[in-house]
Amino acid sequence: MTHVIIGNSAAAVGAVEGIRQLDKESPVILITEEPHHTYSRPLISYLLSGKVTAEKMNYRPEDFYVKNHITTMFGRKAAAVDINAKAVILEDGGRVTYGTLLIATGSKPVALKLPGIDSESIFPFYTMKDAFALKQFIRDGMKAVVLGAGLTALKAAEALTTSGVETTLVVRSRILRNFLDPGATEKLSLHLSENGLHLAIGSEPVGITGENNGLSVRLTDGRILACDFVVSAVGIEPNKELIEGVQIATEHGILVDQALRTNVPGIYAAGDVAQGLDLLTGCQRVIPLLPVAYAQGEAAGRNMAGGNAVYAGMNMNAISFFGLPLISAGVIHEEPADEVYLQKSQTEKMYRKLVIRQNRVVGYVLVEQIDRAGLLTWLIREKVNITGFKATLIDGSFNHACLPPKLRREKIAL
Amino acid sequence: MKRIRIKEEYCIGCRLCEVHCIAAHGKYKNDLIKTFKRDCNRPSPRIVIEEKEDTCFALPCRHCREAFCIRSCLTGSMTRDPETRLVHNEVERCVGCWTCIAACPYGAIVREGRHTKIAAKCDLCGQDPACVKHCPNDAIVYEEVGEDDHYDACNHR
Repeated sequence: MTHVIIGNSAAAVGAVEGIRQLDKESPVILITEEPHHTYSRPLISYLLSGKVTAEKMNYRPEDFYVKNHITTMFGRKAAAVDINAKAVILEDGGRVTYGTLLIATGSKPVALKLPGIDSESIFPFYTMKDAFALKQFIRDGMKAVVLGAGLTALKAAEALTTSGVETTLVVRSRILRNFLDPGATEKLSLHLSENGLHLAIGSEPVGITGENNGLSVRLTDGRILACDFVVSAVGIEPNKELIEGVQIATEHGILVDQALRTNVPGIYAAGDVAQGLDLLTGCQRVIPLLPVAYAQGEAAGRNMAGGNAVYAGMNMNAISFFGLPLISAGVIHEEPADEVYLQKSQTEKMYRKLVIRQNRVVGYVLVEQIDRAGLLTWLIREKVNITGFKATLIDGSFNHACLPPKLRREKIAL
Repeated sequence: MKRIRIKEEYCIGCRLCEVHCIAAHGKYKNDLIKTFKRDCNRPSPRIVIEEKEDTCFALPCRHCREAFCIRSCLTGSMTRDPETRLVHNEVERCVGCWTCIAACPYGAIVREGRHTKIAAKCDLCGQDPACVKHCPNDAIVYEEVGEDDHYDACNHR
């Protein structure tokens, strides 16, 4: 049975490893549009700021595909899937037949519709190629406007600022609102401003004018921001063009069950393109985060190789800006019936929010003091009943010695 | 395959394991006085004492068979050694994003030092763990475990 993978990022790599854990023999073919080895997409901002060199962008070692006996088809775009003939049709006319197929085509930047957006001085920031193009272009002392309030926009803005570019981030509502609650956003916003990143909060761009001698970005609040270039990172969406017109069920992403199966037998989806199970809600949701993509890919790979893996993902995010670390997981925005416990420092950046629902931890946000956050992630993931040690969670002293003996021994095999 | 086993009933919380872990991973290898008197950027301990009231025990990385840190690592620096099966962070590729800290169910991955953006974790000191060697009570022991031994919480996922 030939396993075919479309994509070359975290979900695809997870699938390669998942397949090879169970099946060392079957042919595996990996088809990818990007003409190079797998790289870590979250590192593109590090590439831009110079913290990471091009050689260190690899998500897996150079010999990864050779060692795993994978036939790679780099720089080849999959154009369509023929589910009756069980074949992937390539844009260049090629045809690859499959026994099992994984669609791991990721996401693509949302195109901003705005007068003047076609200017050559407007940069996307999503691929390694985008990061190189921007790195080539920027000079110390330039001015930039970054559009967007998500992880990508913020990391781009940070990298530009540390590269000596005077940068303004234009944010419609609130920065990182999918990962931070308003209290943590406040701490982060202050920290960003202190480090020289300008924030234009509560406004949207209405148009961009100008060309070579500089751009002007007009905002809804009437302000006009003069700059040398604009970075547009307003969001991403599942890249599911490939299956247009095919009988694979989709909503926002490709719908998959807990085994990462689509509705078509033999076809799986994983990563940013997939709308898989959310551990906390039990609903299907696109969770475009690298750890989720990898784990979905690995589970899909095991199943393609005849295994019996299941996976449900959840929000979990660790990120730093100008040296300030933040981690959040699970439910960030509480519901009225939830209990919320806050600890914050008036003078420092420290902030800690814990969300408890029916005697279970369902979410947390940590700023600055992030050590051992995984203990909380574990409580969320395992839905551990915290009766008996809840007070230690509230005061922040929680550790494994606080767990009931039976649970502690099970977890640590004492 | 040898791993560190934890014997809660013998641990008195003296924290010598933490002290020797720091010294074993510092630039004055295993020299306690130089490590603690001269190295102002000395490493963080890769083993912690878990403590509440009368309960205490030392907890290092379990080298989980299904390791959340490896799956979650953004750069691919967290890997499993194919020979020893140990979970290992290739520090040259680590950028200190701390996703492993968010993911590790044991809280066994630490920030290296005050000024170093690298994730640090137990490496079993190259098969000769300093914490075990210096534990006065044998509250942590280094012993052979079978492939199927119940050893970590993540092995059935």
